[in-house]
Amino acid sequence: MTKKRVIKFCVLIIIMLLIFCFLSVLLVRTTTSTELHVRNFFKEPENSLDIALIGSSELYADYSPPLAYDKYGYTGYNLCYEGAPANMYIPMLKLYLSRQKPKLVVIEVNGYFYSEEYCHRDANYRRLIDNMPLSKQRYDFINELIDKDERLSYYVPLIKHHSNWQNPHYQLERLQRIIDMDNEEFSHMKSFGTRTAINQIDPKISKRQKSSVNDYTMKCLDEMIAFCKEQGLENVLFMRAPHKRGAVDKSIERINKTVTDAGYDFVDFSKMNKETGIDPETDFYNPDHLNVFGNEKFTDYLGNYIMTHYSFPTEHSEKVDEQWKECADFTKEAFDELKGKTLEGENRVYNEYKMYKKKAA
Amino acid sequence: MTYTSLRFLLFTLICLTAYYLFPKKHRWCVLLLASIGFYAIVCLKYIAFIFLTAASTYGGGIMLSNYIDKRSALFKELKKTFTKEQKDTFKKTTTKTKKLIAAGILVLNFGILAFLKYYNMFALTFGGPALKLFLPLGISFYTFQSMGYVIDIYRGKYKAEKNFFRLLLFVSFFPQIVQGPISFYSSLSCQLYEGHDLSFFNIKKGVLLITWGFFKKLVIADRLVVAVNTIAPDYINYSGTLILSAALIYALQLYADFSGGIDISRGVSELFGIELAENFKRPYFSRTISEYWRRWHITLGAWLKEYLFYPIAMSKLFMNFSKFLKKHGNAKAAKVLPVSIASLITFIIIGIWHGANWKYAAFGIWNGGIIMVSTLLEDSFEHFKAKLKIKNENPLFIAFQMLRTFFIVLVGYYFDIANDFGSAMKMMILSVADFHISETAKLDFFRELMVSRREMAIVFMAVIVMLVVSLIQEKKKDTTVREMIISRGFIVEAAVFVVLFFSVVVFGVYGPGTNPADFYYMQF
Repeated sequence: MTKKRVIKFCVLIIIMLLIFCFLSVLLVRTTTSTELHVRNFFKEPENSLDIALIGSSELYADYSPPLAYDKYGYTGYNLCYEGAPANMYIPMLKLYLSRQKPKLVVIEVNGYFYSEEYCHRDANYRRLIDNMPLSKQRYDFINELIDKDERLSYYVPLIKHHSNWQNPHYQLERLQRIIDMDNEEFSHMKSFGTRTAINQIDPKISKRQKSSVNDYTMKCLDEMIAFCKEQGLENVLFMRAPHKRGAVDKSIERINKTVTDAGYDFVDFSKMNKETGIDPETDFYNPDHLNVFGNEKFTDYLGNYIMTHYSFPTEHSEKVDEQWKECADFTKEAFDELKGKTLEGENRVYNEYKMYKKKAA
Repeated sequence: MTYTSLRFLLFTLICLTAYYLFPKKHRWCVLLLASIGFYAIVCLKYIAFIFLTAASTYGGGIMLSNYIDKRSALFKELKKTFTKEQKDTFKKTTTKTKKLIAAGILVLNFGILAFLKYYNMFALTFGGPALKLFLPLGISFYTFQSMGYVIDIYRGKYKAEKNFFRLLLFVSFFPQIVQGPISFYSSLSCQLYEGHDLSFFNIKKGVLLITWGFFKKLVIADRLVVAVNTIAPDYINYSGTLILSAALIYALQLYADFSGGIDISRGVSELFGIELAENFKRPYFSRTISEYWRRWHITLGAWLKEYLFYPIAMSKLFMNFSKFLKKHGNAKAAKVLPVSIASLITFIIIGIWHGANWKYAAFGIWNGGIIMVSTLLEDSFEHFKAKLKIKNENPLFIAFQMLRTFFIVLVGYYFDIANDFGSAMKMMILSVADFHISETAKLDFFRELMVSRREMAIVFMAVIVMLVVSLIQEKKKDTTVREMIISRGFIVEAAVFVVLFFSVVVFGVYGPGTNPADFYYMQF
């Protein structure tokens, strides 16, 4: 092979790699909220978070880490995505622990109410894995969680997502969103999503029966507890976030017993409206999620609960505090605006409010 | 491990590296190991069948060759002492024994193929117990190829291969095992056994052809297959317009599928410096149905011509029939009729080869019948044309001929996509009687075809590209489009490759959530 030929070959390979990378950015997509909430987690400075929050959409809708920081001084990030099932909780916690040393782990238990079939749906794996940066951990997750025959499309997600060319308008809009997000140094709301509405009737949710656990998800819970023990985690709080649509009492009892028998804590906030001050008539945007009014109340209550039941130092470096103050200020301002929009009955979904503000500006 | 899988590409890359790293003399061993390895990966359960064919072909070939050698040596020795009668007897005995040996091998191998492929068809028709039979991968292709070799030895064209493993490679060469092309021993064997030098020209040509094959298969064929598979089996619930659309789509899908697969096979072979025979020469440009069959699945046509058509047409029975017609004053019929009947028989066999269903016999009769009628009426057509002063070079006439040929081919395709003969006929009737052009403008027309408008737009653009390439190739018969691209230098060849490659990556139908369609001819 002559030198000239080697150069030509290298040029061709580089051009192809560049096109491939561009196509991967353009076409590989999961869901907007997932992309924002999972990808932004990696922007948090290492070992800067005091608590870990793991769960599904209840977390980004119901709890605001910057507001909690503003009032109680501890930091945390909602590592969550819509419909995150029970079997993904350990990988999510693993991910958290690989970058942070939280003194308390808060786990929202909604993921344990999904069916086994749902837990194994391709999309649920992809929402986490496809949004992780290329790393050994991502590779390990694929090998650990995905069947051998299906791994290739996780190593090279374009294999799965290439057919998104059929929605060019959406893909370009999304590309802009990703670029905007990447230009941000950090997430200002630490994983946040809401709808500016009060008590919307979501046909998908209203058709659902009362949530209940099953043998598979209970096995996942046992494994989660075992994993926490193995990791030497002393402070673990399992909680059920406020819901209008109840869970089957027996299921809650099973979770409660399993968790407390293992020496960890469980609180069902869905039955504590009096204590949390949540008004079912005004504080939900749908039966499973709080709106900004409810979020503010629940964040305050949970923050207070954490501070009174667990003790851990909340000192941070100057840089971290500076960042979090900026986030808290931004979040307070955003909440004021979102409250106004909610009262106006805007009924729009917002994920990470910052980019909408930027767009409006 | 289908030809369009990443695994196959990786497999090819490993084989290619090993091939060029091995000493030239032993490079064929790499091909043999690769071929057996490929077969074992894809179809380990039935690997015994290919070994049986290879062993019987090898043993039979050696036996035939040795017998022919011995007899001709003996004949040379005794020639002078033989009387004419003795000579005739000697030749007759030799031919008879040769025939017996060859027939034994042919019956064994075609018997296995026929039993596995057609037993259930006959059982269903004549009421016998159905068996759970399977078809080993590529059995039709390797059986035809091997039996061609045996017949050639019988005819004394060449001597039998003495090395079993070399013959095994000829029978099992992995790029062509799935769906051909069917090669003649005389043109393939020397290429297989000769160690080829690494040639970047060949590599570039091969890579371009493989990518082109992927483009045809994944962007066009696999996108359209769902339309055919949805409408044809359930045609009763669809309008004639949709049935006709499904048949037209099938014409495109089948060509893109089969020729795409062959392009991949030929491209992979070219990487090793081996040129496989061309199997398609832009068949939809054909002006007559005979021409179509010279351009479509060329290697099957060539095989059948060599080993079936000629032996039938030149047989004693047909010669006598010809003489009989001539004697009774019909010189034209004497020339044309026996050939036409031989052609009809060949086409019926082509039809049956396509599948174990009587509808395929109808497919063969339709094609063979048209050829027979057009051969018989050739003079009248010429006379008619002369009367109307139509010149063969008239572009309008050429277009008419192409359309007419395509229409005839399309009718044949109905037998292919329908469940049975009756359904094929009903589908044809509906396509004419229930055809409404206005339906194609309806919004849900493409939805019914299970292809979105955007996907149709991609197919349309891909077909335009395919058409342009075909037109260029049709004009430049002394070179290939790939060679033309490569001759333009690095920027052009790289640009073409990159565009083609990423068209497949983005617009191809593959990956989880899709149902990858097997190559159509893989089931043969």
